[in-house]
Formats: sequence, structure tokens, C-alpha cells
Amino acid sequence: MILAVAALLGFTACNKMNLEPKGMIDEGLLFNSEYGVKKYFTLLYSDMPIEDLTYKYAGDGKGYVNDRSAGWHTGNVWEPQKGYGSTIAAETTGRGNEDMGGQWGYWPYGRIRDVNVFINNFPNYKDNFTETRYNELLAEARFIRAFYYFALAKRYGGVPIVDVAQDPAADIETLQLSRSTEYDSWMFIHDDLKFAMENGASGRSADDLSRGTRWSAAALMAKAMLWAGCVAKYNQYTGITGPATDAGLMGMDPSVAREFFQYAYDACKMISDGGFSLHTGADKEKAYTEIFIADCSADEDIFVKHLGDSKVVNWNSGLYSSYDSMTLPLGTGLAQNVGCAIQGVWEMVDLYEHPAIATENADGTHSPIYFDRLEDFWDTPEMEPRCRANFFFSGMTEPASGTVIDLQSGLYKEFPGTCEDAAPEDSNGENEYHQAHRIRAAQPGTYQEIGGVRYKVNGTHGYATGTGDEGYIYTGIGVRKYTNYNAPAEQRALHTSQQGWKVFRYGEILADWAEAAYELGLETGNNALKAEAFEHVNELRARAGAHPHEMVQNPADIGTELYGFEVDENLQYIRDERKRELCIENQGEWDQRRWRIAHSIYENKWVHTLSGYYVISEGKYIYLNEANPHGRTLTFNKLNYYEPIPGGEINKNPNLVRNDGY
Amino acid sequence: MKKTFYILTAALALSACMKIDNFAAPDAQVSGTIIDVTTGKPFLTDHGTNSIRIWEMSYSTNPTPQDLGIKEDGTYAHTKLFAGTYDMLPRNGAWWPTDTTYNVKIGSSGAVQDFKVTPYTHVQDFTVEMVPGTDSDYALVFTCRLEAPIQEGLPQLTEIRPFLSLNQHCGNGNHLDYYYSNTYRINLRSMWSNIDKDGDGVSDKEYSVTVPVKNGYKYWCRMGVKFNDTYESWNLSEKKVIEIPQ
Repeated sequence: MILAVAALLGFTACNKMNLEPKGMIDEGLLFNSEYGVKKYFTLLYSDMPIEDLTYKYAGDGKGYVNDRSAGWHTGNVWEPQKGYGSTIAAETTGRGNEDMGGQWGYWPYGRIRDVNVFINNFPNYKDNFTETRYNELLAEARFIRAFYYFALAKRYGGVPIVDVAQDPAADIETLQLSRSTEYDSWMFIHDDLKFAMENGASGRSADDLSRGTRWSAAALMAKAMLWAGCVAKYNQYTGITGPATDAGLMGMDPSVAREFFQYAYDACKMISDGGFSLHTGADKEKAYTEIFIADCSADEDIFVKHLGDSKVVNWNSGLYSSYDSMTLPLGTGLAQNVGCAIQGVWEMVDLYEHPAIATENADGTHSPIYFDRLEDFWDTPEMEPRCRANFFFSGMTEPASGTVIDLQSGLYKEFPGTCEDAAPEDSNGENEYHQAHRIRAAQPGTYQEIGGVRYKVNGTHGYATGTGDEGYIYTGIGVRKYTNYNAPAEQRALHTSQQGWKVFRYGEILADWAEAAYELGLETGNNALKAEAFEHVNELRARAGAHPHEMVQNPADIGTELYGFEVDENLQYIRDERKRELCIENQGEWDQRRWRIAHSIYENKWVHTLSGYYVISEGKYIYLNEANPHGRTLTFNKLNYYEPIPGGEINKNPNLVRNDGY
Repeated sequence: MKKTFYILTAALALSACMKIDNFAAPDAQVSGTIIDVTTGKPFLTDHGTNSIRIWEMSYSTNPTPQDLGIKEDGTYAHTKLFAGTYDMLPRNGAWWPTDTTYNVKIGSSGAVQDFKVTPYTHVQDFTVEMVPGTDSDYALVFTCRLEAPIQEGLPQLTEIRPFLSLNQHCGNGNHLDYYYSNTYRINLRSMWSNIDKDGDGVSDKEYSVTVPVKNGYKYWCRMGVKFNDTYESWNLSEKKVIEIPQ
């Protein structure tokens, strides 16, 4: 029998194999029609390095939804919020307190080859298209290539530039490319985007904006060139030296910063001239939440990634998320599984306009301010609407479920001491003051009788000492940004969130524009540009419902003490405004890398809560900023400004120089 | 048929077990000391914070590097290497960059390879004094001064910190985390040229930090200065031990 099988196998091997395979779609079919080209681009968009609701920055399975440490197109990404970027930028807290390297050896040259095949061969099919449409499709391809290269250059610095479809059968020496300098890598991105900005599609319908247009190319130009300008200007201060730095593979001459800031500035201006504007409305808080959920193609949207129903889209496409369930607390109409993998921190909320929660005493200690209700922290004109749109505070109503979120942390029988007694900055243990005065509960929604009166100890959504670090809010601040205010209850389980991702929106462009204008003003000594930066800042602030901010004419240097190099208070304000506008959008962790400040500000850095307590003796409420009860602290190793070139690639190609420090 | 299948399976299983791995375990050895050339003594460091990078050059022109840890007494040793020719470089301590030592032959008879380095600074005149505390019964006052053998081109000095430990392992890698906070650090963020110093290169300012301590404990104490170089490396003082009364 075995012999028979072997004989059968032997015979089949002799059949003629040199036939055009049926059922395979070849280049000729794909490149000669618009439908075919779109089909060809599908995988390129699917694998695009977009840091959306499915992007995991740290921990197991980290990476992009379809290209991550767990593998390629593995689907079932339910846990990104356990290692979400905002947790390592002090915008939220959660599980992600690992070192901020975020490395998993990202090396998407397979997709870059796919784009190159198109760019090389598409001219053969030019006759099938009008001149305009032909150029628009070519521009789209070059935008896509730039998007992939941006994800490489921001990680590794200079990378090998491949702009042709290499012949796999070629001599190995010609295939083993060296890294280009970091400057050349950024200029390669610049050149692709310049072409895409000049030739890309200019439509602005919701459908148009879900593909690469000239507008998305300009938005990426602004972001990438701002990155390059900052590396040129600030990388010198990291003090990292070695062969890769000497060869220009890491860092650039500071003199080229001006050039890059100018490219970023011009790209922002083009988008503004194109008629984009900030989405707003009479109710500023509500309008701000709409940016992330509603179709804003009429004003703010520039490039949108749509997600959908995991029961309809291919499971392995990753085109769905678990964001609502991973982010909201457990409860009726709220999260059905996990819950609160990310939650707000005081460091972020404190950047917005808000009522004071403590007064300073003569000896430098602080006393809490007494409120009649916990709601008095946010239900007041002193609180900026943008902050309420981004975070849930105790007493706010979650719109989709109508559930009131209750976040009381506990009780104080009396409060004779200072904020420092009750909430030491760098310690989360229980001290003698707590033992004498404080009452907390192990489970949410607990009541307790004290002196014959029944008091609510804590809220139904936290803080509870016995529920671990997920499920309920332990910081007193829930994350609201990007949660779907239209979600029916069944879309609040794992894999069921369908809201899309605003890859680029006009709010980011204004933040880019302000920073580029101010940096350019510093480089050229042009005060008009610096003043212009604050026009963009104030446009953002007006939409946010915050007060305008005046530029300081003789700004103090606040960077030297914090970071070891000069950053003036105006520039710091512009950066803070960016953080206020773009927090929890997977931007902050990258911003602090390109500014080269992360290693200076994050060294066992504690993040803090906004814990509301009822003080029985006063009959009123107080807020305390306690150190994270689960001990999450932040640390950044400066080597992570550049990631190591993947070891497997170095083994294949000895011409790849290692980044310094690895 | 079924029987045949079983016999075949058994044969396969047996054959898989019959091969014996008779290669010897790696047994080449190398050891040595990192010597501070300015004092001739071993370099002052902490366990697990500095290393020697080695490349085995016998088989490849682009080998994957390995790192050998340097012990807190400034020595290192490794007894489980493959015999061969190695390039070696002590690389992530607070010393001026040194050249790679090429073609070190390491075999089972053991090689000794010392490295001479010039520290960025010496943390000297280190004292620890017990004083009455404000919130605790006792506090410790740490003081030190810095001296730079080579002053031109030093990386920026980031900060000075006291390190306390309850065992003999004490330094930037092994310490009580409680004291590793901004409360107990001296923030320098300054180039050497901007640091006040007298003629002999020792900073004339005496750096001083006071930390509260607990009664009845025995503390190993040290001070260190951090540099803004590639590895954010530290120069450390000598260690001192102090016992706090009950």
C-alpha cells in the first residue's frame, strides 16, 4: 500500500507544472482598471502602520493590528488597551508601565515592495486612465509608501531606501542594501509626499477621505517633517555617541532643522487653504465628542480609517476593536468584559482649565477645598468643556447608556491634616493618617453604618480596594475620548466596537502648525511667526471652550532644569496645548520621544488620581491626588529614542549598521 | 496493516532516541579587571550596571554580540564561552570611550584580559554623618565632591544621588527605591565648565543630601553622579556602612 502511494506521488510530480495558474489575478488584470488598483491597494491599507484603537504599544502581542509581535494577520486583538500608548505618556494609566521601548522588530519591506511593484509597473497601463486619474493613483501609492517609511524612520532613523522592485534572483550583494542617512530617509519621505500633495485626489467626501488624498499627504508631511525637524534640533542633547551617530544614521545636523520646520509649516498652510476647519457646535462638550465618532468630513476629518462589525468583516482583518469594553467601567450599559484597562490621571486633567481642589498653606503644605457635591469639580464654567469631553468625572452621565458614573473613593471621618498627610506624592501605602481617619471599601457601591448613620463609602464604578487594577475606575477619572456615545449595549463587549479612527484631523494640523511656526520663528528670529503660532493655539482653545492664551514676550527658559537643554515657556505651552488636544490618540508617547524629553521626565515617575472623598465631620466632599494605588510608575531609557535594527535583518544583511547603544 | 503501522511508528520513535549529542559543553574561560588608570585600582561600579561586550570573530564577520557583566568589585569572569577568538570592549560605564581589544584568544585553559579606563569623574571626599532627624529620630547627611581627570569634553552632568541599601550591594543598580526620588537628588543638568571648582579640578562646592532613616537598621551608603551619555552611566563613591541605634 505504501508503495502504491509512493508510486502515485511519483507520477503526479511528472505532470507539467509550467502553466498560468487559474484563479490567480495577475498584474495585468489589477493595474489596468481603477477597481483593480483599489483591490491591489487593499492589503497595503490593511497593513498600514496606523496607531488606532487596535495599536498596542507595549506588552504581549504589541504592534499594529495586522503586523505585530504575535505574527502577521493573526486577528483577535482584544487587549491593546492593556499596553496602550497613552498609559506611557502620563495621559492615562493602566497596565502599560513597562519600559517604553515598544519594539517588536517592525520591518515592513514586504509591503514596501508591493508599492514599488505598482510604482514601477503602473506606467505600462497609463493608457487605460485619464492623465489626472493616473497621477492621482500614482500619488496615492507614493503616499502609502511614505506612510510606511515614516513608521520606519521614526523608529530607526536612517533606513535602507528601496524605491524599485528588487529582483529576488539578483546577486546577493546588490540586494544587501546599506542604511541611508537619517537626513536622506526623511527627504525620501518628503519627496514622495510632495508628489502626492501636488498630484493626489482632492475630493473631500467621506469616501474620498478614507483613502490617500493630497490632504492626507499634506497631513503626513506636516507630522513627518515636524518629527525630522525636532530630531535635527534636539537629538544632539541625548548625548548618545557611536558609529551610527557618526555616520549620520542617527540624528542630523542641527542646521537642517529649519528646512524641515518650513516643510511642515507649508503643508499645514495647504490644508488650511483647502478649506478644512475645526468641528464645533453650540454645546462645545458634545461637539468635541463628535469629532471622534461622527462623520466630520464637512470640516475636520482629513484621513479616516473605518472599522466595522467583527461578525461581518473578516476576523483576521482586525477591522474592529474592543475599545468601549476595555475602557469604560463594568456596569449596566457600560463595559461587559474587562473594563477600565485605561483610566485618566491627574497629570493630564491638571493641564486643562479646572477649579482648584486645594489651597496652599504658609508652610508650603496644602489643604483640600470643601465642595458641596463631587460634581462641583466639573459642573462649573471653570472646567474646560474639552476636558469633560475627554474624561468622565464622578456624577457625569455616560450618554449611550444613560448611566450616571459614580466614582467616590471613600470616606474620611474627619480631615484634620494636610493633603500631603493623606496623599504623599511618591508613596501609595496606608499610613497612620489613613488608619486614623479614612474608610474605604473592598467592593464598589458599599454602604456602611457609622455612628448610627448609613453612609455611602464608595461609588458603583470605583474606587474599590478589592477589585484589582481593571473593571472599575481607581483614579477617579474615566476615559471618555473615542468611546462611542451611540453604542447599543451589545457593542460594549470584546470585539464589538465599530467606531473608526481619525488618522489625521484638522485639530492635529493646527497643533503641528503652531509648533512648526514657533520653532521656525526661533530658528529665524522671526517674531511674527512666533505670534502666528499662538493664533493657531487660540483657534484650538476657542473650539475647546478654553480661554485664549497670550504669548509671553520675554519667555523664561524652563527646559534647562527639566530636560537639560533650553525650551522656552512659550514652546512648552504650545507642546502642552498639543497634549490637551491630542491626548489618548496615540500621539503623546511619540511626541515625548521626538522632543527627546522622555528620559528626563520619566524615571520612576508616579502618576496620580483625582480621588473624591466625603468628609463626615464637615458634611462635604474633598478631592485628593493620591499616588497610583497599583504602583504604576513610568521610566524611559534613552536608548529607546531609536529602536534596535531587528537582529534577524542584521543576520541576513551585514551591511545594516546597528544603532548606537545596542 | 495496523500492525505494520505500529512497528513503523515504534521504529521511528526508537531511531529518534538513538542519536547522542556528544559535543562538549562550552568551557572556555576569560576573566580580568576593569582598572581605573588614574588610581591603578579597580573601577568603582555596581553589580549588573556595566558590562564588557564581546564578539566571537572565529566564524563570522558580523556576529551577534554578547555582554559579560562586571561585578561590583570591578572584576569580571565567564567560564562557559566557546573557545575562539574574540573582540572585547568595556562599553557602558561612566568612563571615557576605550578602543576595542581585538583578537583575544579564549580557550579552556583560561584567558586573563584587563581593561584600563579613565573615569569621567571620581566621587571623592565621601562622608556619611548621622544627625538628629526632623520627622524621624535620625537622618544621614551624605556629602561628596567631584574630580574630573579629563575636563574637556565631559558629557553633561545630570544629577547626584545618595544610594542606600540594606545589604552590601549598593549603587545605581541596587538600592532602596524609596530614596530614589526627586526629594533626595541634586539636579545638576550642567556641563563641567559651568560647575564651580577650584584649581585642582575638584569641584569646590560640597554636595550634600540629608535623608531620614529608620532606627535599628544597618545601611550601606554610597553617592553617585549620573552623566548624559549614551548609557546614562554613573560614577560611584566608595561604600560606607552605618548602623542606626534602636
